[in-house]
Amino acid sequence: MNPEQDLEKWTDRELRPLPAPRAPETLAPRVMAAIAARAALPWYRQTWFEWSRGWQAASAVVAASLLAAWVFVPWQTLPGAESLADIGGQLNAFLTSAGDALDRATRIALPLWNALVRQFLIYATAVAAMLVSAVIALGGAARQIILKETQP
Amino acid sequence: MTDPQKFEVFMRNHQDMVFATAVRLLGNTADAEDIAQAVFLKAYERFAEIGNSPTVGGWLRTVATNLCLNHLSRYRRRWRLFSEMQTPDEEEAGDYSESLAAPEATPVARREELEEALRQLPNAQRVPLVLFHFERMSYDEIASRLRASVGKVKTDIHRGRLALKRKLEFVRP
Repeated sequence: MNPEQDLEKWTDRELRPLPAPRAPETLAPRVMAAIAARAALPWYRQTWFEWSRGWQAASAVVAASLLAAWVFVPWQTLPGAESLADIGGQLNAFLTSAGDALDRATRIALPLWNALVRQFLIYATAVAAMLVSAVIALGGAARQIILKETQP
Repeated sequence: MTDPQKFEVFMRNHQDMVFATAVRLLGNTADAEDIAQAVFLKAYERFAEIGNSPTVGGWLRTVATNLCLNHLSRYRRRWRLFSEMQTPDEEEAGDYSESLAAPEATPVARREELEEALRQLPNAQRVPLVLFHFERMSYDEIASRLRASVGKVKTDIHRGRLALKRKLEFVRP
C-alpha cells in the first residue's frame, strides 16, 4: 500500500467515528419563529408551496386552463379579435414613435458626448483604476496584519 | 398546510445531522446555524412531500451541502483576490500550536482537538476533505461540485490530511 493510501485510511479512521456536533439549542426556536413570521404574511407574499392544498390545486387548474387556451383557442376567429388587433396596432405605433424619439435624442447627445465627455473619459478611467488598485493593496495589507494578529 | 408541531418534532430529529454537515463544511457555527435554518425552511415548504419519505435524511443532507457550497462560493468570490495573495507557507502556518491539548489529553479532548483542527483548516482544504471523508463523495464528484480540477482537489485533500495528522501526532505522539 502506498503512503497516500495509508494517509487516506488513517484520516478515515480518525474522522469517521467523530460524533456529529450537536445543533445549538437556539436553532429550533429560530426556525419556528421564522415559520410563524412567514405564516403571518398575506397569501400573495408566501411561496406557492405554502398555500393550502385547495389553493394549490385551484391555481394549477387555472394555469393549465390558460396554457391550454393559449395553445388551442383560435383567437383570430373570436368576436372582438378586430378590436384586439386595433389595440396591437396602436401599441405598435406608440413603440415606433418612442423609438424615433430615442433616435433623435441619441443624435443630439452623441456629439455632446464626443465633444465633452469622451476626451476626459480616459483620464477618469485611469484615475479610477489607480484608486481601485490602491484600495485593493491597502485591503490586502490590512488583511495580512489582521490575520497575523488573530492567528492562534 | 404543514402542522408546525409535527414539523418541530421532525426538525429536532434531524437538526444535529444538518447542523453537523453545515458546521464541518463552513467551519463556523454562526454561518452553520444560518444555513441549517435555511435548510429547514425549505423542508417546511415541502414537508407534505418529504415528511414521511425514507430518503428525507439524504434530501436534507444534499440541500445543506448545496447551500453551504453556494455560501462558500459567494464568500470565495468576494475574498479570492486576497486569498490568492497568501503564500503557501502562510497557508501551512495554521499549525494550531497555541491551541493544543496536552499530550496526555483524554479521548474527548482529542476529539475536540480534531474538530477544532478541522475547523481551522483553510476552506480550500477543509471543504474537499469533508466532502470526501464525511459525505463519501468521489474525487471526480468533488471536482465537479467545486468546479476545480481533480488534481487540485487531490492536492488540497492531501494537504488537509497532512495538517490533521501533524496536529494529532502532536496531541498524541
